[in-house]
Amino acid sequence: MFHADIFSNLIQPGYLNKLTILFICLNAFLIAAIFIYLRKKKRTHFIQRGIKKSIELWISKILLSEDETEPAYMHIPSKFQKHFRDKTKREFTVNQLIDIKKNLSGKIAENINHLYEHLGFRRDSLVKFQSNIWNRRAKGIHELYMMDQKNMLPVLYKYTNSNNQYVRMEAQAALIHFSGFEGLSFLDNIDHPISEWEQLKILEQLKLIDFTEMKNLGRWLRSQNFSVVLLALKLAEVYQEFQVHDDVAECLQHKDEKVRSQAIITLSRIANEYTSSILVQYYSNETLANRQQILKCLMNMASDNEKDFLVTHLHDENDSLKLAAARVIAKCCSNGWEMLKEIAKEQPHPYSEIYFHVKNELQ
Amino acid sequence: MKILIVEDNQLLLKVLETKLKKEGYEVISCENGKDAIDEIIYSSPDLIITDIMLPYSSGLEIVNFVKVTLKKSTPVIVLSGIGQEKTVEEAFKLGVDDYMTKPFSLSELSMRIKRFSRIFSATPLQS
Amino acid sequence: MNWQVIISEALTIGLFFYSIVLLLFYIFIGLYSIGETRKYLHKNNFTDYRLLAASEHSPSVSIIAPAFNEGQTIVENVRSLLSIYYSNLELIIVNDGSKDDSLQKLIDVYQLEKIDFFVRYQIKTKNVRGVYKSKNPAFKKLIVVDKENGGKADALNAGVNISNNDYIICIDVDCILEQDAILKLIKPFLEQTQEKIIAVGGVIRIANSCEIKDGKLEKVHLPKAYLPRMQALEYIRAFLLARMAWSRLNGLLLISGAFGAFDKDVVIKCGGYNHNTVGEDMELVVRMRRYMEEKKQPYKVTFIPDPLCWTEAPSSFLILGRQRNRWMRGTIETLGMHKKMFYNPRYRLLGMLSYPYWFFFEMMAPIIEFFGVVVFIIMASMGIVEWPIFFSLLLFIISFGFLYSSFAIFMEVITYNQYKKRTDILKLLLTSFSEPFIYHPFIVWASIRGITDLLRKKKNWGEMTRQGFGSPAIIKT
Repeated sequence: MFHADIFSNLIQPGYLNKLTILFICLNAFLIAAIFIYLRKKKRTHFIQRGIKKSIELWISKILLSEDETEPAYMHIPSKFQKHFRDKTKREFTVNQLIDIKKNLSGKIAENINHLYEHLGFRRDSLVKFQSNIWNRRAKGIHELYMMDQKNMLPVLYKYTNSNNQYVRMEAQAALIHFSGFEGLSFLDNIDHPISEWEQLKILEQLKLIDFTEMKNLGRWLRSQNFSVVLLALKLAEVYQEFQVHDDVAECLQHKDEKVRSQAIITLSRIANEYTSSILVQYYSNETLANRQQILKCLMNMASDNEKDFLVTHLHDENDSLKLAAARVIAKCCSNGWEMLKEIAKEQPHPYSEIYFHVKNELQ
Repeated sequence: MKILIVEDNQLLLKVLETKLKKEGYEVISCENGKDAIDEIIYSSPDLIITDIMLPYSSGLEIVNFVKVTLKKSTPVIVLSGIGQEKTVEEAFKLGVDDYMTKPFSLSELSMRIKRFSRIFSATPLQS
Repeated sequence: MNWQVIISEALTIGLFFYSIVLLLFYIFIGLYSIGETRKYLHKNNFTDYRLLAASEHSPSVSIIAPAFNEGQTIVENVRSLLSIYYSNLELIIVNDGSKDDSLQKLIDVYQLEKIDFFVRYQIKTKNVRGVYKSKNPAFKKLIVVDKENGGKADALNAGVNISNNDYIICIDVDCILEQDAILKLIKPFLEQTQEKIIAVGGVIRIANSCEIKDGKLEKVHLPKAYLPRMQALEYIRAFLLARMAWSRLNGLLLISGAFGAFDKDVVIKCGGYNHNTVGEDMELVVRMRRYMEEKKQPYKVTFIPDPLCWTEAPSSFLILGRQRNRWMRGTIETLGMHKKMFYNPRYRLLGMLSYPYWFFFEMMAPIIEFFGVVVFIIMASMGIVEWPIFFSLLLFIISFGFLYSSFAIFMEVITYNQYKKRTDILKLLLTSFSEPFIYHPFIVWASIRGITDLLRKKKNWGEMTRQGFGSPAIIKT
């Protein structure tokens, strides 16, 4: 029959059996691979543990050596020379050195840099840096800047605009590490978006550095790159840059909701006598989330000038806005509490609950 | 003076241990909060230096244990890293005596410890 | 007779093609997941998660854990959750009208007092009877919500209403979390640039036989009992391979109800969890995806391969059966509610690939398998089985199954390798050999029961009896 021909051609036991044998062989191969891998890992673990103690001892002696005439790092014991021919051990040691650099500064940090250069680890870092594989390049950059290889600075600049997010992050961190706030100049030219994670890293890194004037802050606030504007707004917030108040206010008209949201927050930190009325002005055009943000920020700067506005929005149909408005009234308006109490009496649901909630929070 | 150091980075711990021993202090080292709390109970150190972020616990638990639970006056210095300001604030609320932000200078730490050791030798032994 | 042979051959070919397509999908999933996992592992090396824990620029997070009659373990569970280190965090425990002393225990141990709280019912839920906070500043992150019983979905929605923060993490209250689970789960939200991340899921591991003390995982052991051990293997396959692959495709339909993070704003806009289904976790993700598709906004649902959360798996056939029964009903209900998307190009990948895959290979698979067995029995009784073909087919499929499990174990070993002992890996491999004969048929049977139960409109949550982590058998000294 017609069907039978197709059928027996398709599902010949022969074909299936060959495939089955293929599967079984692959399976055996995988199982072998699993155990080989496990054994390798165990061996590496013990090797590392073995040299770990001796390296730690040796490094700590060097780092603490106060002998100026014959620096201890110049003399490498022969057993370590043998160790350092092994790439894995070199990798391990470099990671140890970077770890220490994150923790200690001063004379010790200098000693670490000397040790790094003297042991030839810089060459390893450069090899990684020149790789086209993103994670190796990023690691190379990381090692170079953590070890204060400042002469790499001009080369690294272009990588702040690299296509790979992690290479960019390390290059940016390098620039900030070497040049402080001046290093933020990469914000002038960056095409790629800067994610919130990257922004967080930059902001935290800047905290460790002495503040210097950010001359281009205004320009960044007008950048075409939304994330640059966002970061600039956060910088203005953290460092209370009062002089960019008007630029920040401009950002309230930005297309992106998140940018506007941050602009509201920043304004509340650099507020002047006009800020409250500016925020009130923009309120009606804003999304629900940003309206809540505006009300939240008004808690820090509102006055009786905004009383009418607040009472109107106390009666907004959205409950979250009612609550937010109530908070501002309680905190900023003279007779705020009395007003809320009155309204609560007239309309217990929901204003009585709101009144007690706010009372619980603020008193 | 007996100093307890709590730090999960082993190389850093070794460096701190070596440095402080060189300066003549008696040093006990721990790598996590649990061991640290045991050491505080059994060895009663005179000064505690602890990292604020430790695996499986926070340095704050140690501060809390010493200052709030045991109500001891043992000075505690916390070592904080990048992005941990809020934690340092909380530590001060619990009663921590001093803090150092990483990366910090060893000689600076050494000087601050000397300050506490002067207080230690000036006052009679307290349990 | 001829027509019997024709039909039986047609059915056999049909089943064969179904199996081949399924196999090809599995192979694709297996290989495709590798790239995503590797990328994640590399990214991890450049990430200091502790930055997120206390930075003022970190996102605000609310953990929501519904609780129903958890009196035996609730205090311990809450203590474990409270020890999470993240500064901008709220821990919301929702007491869903427990009939036992869960609430009272919490009030006593955590020094709670009822506070005045204006509940905004952004999502409709059963009545909230009270909101409690602690008098003790050490527990200031804790909020306990007492409400009328409404089911898990309703309790989660109540938590969403109470939450003050931007992101919510929904968990089962008895999950043991890793030290930096929250940090790892939240980070993807911060990495988004072009696409809005609306939900993130992580790996759930089996806690049976592990050493747990004070709500923290001390030591990992391979589960001793057969069923939990089998589930350990199953979870590795599902999480490390399938979910990673779907996440990479941006076609992931399911984030486990035991542990997942969501953008609160999107959840509210979608209307929260649906309490008309027992698969509320899957249904929410599907609805959130559908919402974003309909709004034509670029988005992603991400999955990370990091083991973040440990939970007790059913160890008896009865409880396991109920669980799989419920999962099947949940899948069918969810797919039913969104059948508009089936092969609908308007929903792009969601409608053209994810939904059909779930329909044909997750939902229909047990049915087709069961059907296949029935057909086989009939054919055998009629004497028209071609035994050589039958055995070849059977061996073919079984050997593929073994290969796939071995691959999953291989991926586990080279990535997170939670089971470090070689003997444990060997045990896991040996367990996989028993799967086609014991475990798999049981699961198929439980799924079929799920379908029949659904058809009979049985609608309750079933009960998972809690053994509690404090049982002496688990803790070793």
